[in-house]
Amino acid sequence: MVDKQIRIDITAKDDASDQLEQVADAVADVEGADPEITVEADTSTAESALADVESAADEVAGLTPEITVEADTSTAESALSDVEADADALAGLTPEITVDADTSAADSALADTEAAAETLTAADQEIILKAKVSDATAALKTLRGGLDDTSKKADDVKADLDQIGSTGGPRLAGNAMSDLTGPLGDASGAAGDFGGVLDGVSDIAETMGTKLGLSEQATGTLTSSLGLAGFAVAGVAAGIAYFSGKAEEAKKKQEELTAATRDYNDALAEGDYRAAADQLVDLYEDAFDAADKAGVPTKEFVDYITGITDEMPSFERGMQGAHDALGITGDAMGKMRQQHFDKTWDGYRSSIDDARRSVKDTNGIIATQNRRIGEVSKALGTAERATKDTARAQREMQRETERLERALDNMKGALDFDKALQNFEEDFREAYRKVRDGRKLTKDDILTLKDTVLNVGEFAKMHPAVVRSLLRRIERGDIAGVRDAVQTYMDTHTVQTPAGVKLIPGAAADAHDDAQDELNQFNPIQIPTEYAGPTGTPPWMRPGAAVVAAAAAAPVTNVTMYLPRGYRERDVVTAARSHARRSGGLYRRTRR
Amino acid sequence: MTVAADLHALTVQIRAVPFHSMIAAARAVKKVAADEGKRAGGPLKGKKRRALKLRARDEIREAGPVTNCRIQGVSPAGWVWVTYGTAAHDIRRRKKGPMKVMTVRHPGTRGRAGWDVVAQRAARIVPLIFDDDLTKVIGHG
Repeated sequence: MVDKQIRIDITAKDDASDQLEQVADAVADVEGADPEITVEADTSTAESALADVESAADEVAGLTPEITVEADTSTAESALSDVEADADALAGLTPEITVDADTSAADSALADTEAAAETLTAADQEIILKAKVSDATAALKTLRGGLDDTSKKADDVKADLDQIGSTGGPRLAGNAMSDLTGPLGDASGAAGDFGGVLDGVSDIAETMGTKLGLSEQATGTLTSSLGLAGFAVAGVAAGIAYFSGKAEEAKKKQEELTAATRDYNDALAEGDYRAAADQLVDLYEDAFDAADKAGVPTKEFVDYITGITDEMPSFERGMQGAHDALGITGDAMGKMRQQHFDKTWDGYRSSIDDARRSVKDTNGIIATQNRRIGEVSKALGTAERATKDTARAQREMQRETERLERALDNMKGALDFDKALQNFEEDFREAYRKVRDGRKLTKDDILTLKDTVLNVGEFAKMHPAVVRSLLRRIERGDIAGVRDAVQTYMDTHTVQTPAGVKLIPGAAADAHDDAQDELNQFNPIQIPTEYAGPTGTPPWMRPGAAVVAAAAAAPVTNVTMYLPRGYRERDVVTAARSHARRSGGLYRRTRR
Repeated sequence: MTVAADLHALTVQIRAVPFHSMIAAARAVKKVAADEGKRAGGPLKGKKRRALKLRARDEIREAGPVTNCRIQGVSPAGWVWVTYGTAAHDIRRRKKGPMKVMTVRHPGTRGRAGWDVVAQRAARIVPLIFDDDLTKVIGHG
């Protein structure tokens, strides 16, 4: 026992701190001491060197400084004499300036200027062409606006169809409409690009081919689907605009002209002659000036340019009067006057005729725009009606599809219910055969029966309490009772399938009759529907074992027997007997 | 601060290391003892046959530069039983009454080396604790 120690001894010894303290004391002594340093050296050599340096310095201080500079000035003097000689020669000269110039280029430029002045009339034709191009551009712009509106409406229709499709139906109509109206947006974009073409030639040169291809495709699709034949004309007009130089200015001018002409027409229609006159004067100010100079009365001028009359007699009379007043003769001066006279009056005439053509062209543009707006509106109406018809057909098809799906669900539910009932009958018939032949139901058999009862209960909408009761009866081995209970439930309840269709379990009733006949044939003795055995499963027994034992065992009576604590017999039965002998009876009596 | 003052301060700190480290070491060993005692399972004792709770206590004493610590297992009997086992012995069937003379023969038990495990674990842990504290004081490992 001495060696058996239940303890642990730990010892720690500090040897370092003492030594460290000694070192610290030594260091403190060193730090507290006052150091003194003595240096011994031979300084005689250094002292003699210092004396030499002092004597040399004294010698330097006694000196007088003098600086002498020597230079050769002969070269500079000869250069100065050369300069003086050149100056004298320059003073004796007489200045003279001669200018030689070639005037042929200036003459040629003047001649070109005159030729350009003579060909000014060709510019008038260019202005006319610009006006026409502007007409086409304005038409193109109008058409673009119409196409944009059409595309927006088509998008709205497509969104409506997609909304219908998103509720469950297919998206065929929406996609078809998208395919139909997709080129419309492309055509609108192409038309817009044609308008952009007019901004600059260089920017458009690269993409012109691509844009023309898009416009052709869009034109073909639109012509076949919506009947917009005028789009091709607009595309050609845009091509002309592409090849014209300053088309943007002409386009703006034509837009202003068209707007002003519309205002003039509106004012005239409303009887507001003052406003109409203002518009007309603003529009054709140059022409009015020309008419005034030619002596043409205002009414005659207005009638002429607005197309009411085709003649302007005052102009002819005024021109003749002016010609007579000049008294032009046949000499050279007379020819010059005649030439100037013709040029002046041709200008008056061309200004007035330009105004007349502009009024006519602008009115034509307005008429064309109105006609095209009407065509596009008509096409839009047709497309909208077609879209509505398609959407209506789509909704009808969707309803039919849903109806068909519901019918299929009903059929599928009925079929599943029949399958569940059939499985129920087969499983219970097999289980009953086992019981009748004296075989025990295995754990898998019990689970199969429970599963099939759960299936039937789910389809038949049985109450969970009913299903639970059936499962307990299966555990107790009441096979025939469970089957009869299910059959009774089916006969007394209106069974609803999951799809909502009333189902008459005829197949289940027939199968039950067949099974009952077979049971009667195999087992003529009446089978008790209620089992009077113990209820529940002991906690120490596996559920499967309890079911197997209860399925085929005879009724058991439980007897509570109290055995003495600490009995020494081999088994319980022997102990019970001996205890009974000692206590005077088989059962323990609480009172004697 | 001078070098000498630094050395003096370090000396004071080193002198305090054994006692403070011993406290930490004693706590660690007592925890190890309680752990091992629970694992070994104390022998039954008393009328209600409850298991003894095996644990340990410590006593630290300073004597100059030496610091001693004794860690004692409690209860010592329980630790002896679980460490070294018991020899064969008789057990009375009754504590009181005429039947107390009747005994049964117990063959004895084999020890499970409970306290030996505590000592082994303490031998690994305690030096580490001292090293750690000294490293903290000196400032480098």
